[in-house]
Amino acid sequence: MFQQLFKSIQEKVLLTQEEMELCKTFFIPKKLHKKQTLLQEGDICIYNAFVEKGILRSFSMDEKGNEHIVQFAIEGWWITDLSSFLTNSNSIYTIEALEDSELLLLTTEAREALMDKVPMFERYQRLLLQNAYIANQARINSALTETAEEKYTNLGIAYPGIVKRVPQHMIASYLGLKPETLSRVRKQINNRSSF
Amino acid sequence: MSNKRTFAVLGVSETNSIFLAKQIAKTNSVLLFDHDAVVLNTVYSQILSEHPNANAEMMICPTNASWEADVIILSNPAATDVNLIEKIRNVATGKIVIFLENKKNTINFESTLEKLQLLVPFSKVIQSFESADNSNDSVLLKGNDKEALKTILTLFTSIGLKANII
Repeated sequence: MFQQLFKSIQEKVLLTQEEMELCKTFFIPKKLHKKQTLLQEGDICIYNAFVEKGILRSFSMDEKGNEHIVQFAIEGWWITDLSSFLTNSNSIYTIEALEDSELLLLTTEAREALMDKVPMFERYQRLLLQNAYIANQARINSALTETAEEKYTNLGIAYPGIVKRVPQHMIASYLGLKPETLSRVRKQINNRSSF
Repeated sequence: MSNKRTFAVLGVSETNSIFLAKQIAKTNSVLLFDHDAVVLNTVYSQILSEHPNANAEMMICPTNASWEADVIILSNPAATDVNLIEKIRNVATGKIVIFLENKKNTINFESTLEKLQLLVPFSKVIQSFESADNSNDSVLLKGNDKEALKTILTLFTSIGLKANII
């Protein structure tokens, strides 16, 4: 139940066996079925969720009912609405399972208490935030400077697991493309590689 | 988070757990489990016939039911079933576990609450028992976690129960 979490933690910091056992007592294990939501737009996000198994997405919806995907999370990743989670404000995002998923949930209170009891967990969280910030900057740069083909190709290189598991219309939404544009781009790539 | 919660009701052979499962299923998801498959089927069918839109599901495993749930409800027999508690202990961490006490069966409220809390040390255990008039819709709540008590008081009130914290 905690395999992916401790793998993720141990990649960044070292915990003793005792600290790992203590960590386990702060997380809420939760199973979600495909299409079940963890967070509903308008509600306060009270959990930071670690994905042990499955895949989730967070998205907002515009006035016309179009979904805009801001994040996917596969095994070993965290997902939350950080702004809502840290400031107790209403979320503009919905977080939904795309497959049957197993999560480990951390409340704000539990997160604070865990960082207090296990200082290395605070370092782990800091490194995660640092990496998330870098990834967000890269995403902004990609949105501003890359062509549709570059966006799709680079996503496939960086996160092949996501491209293989997620429906193409969701990939298009994540890249800020229309589904038909992504379809055309994929066709062009396929045509070139078949020569 | 999503206002709609998922409740696991473990043990549906007693009138108080059946009543509660029916009430909760009107507005939230309910996962039903009982060792007796006939009882489980009967209660499930009852819920669906009374509330065709109810979001109820029969579960064959208490661990999975509790793993999926946000709140776990134990009937009187389930709360004293040490094997069952052992099966749900790891997936109940951080969750509210409500123990439905049948008042007339109870000798010592304090010890039951403490015993269960020892078995699920990282859960927020709440004891719910029928108030003096012995009606299913009037309950008293007791527990050590004030936030959890407040959450359940709000929930029970919202589904039409007369609940009070003692």
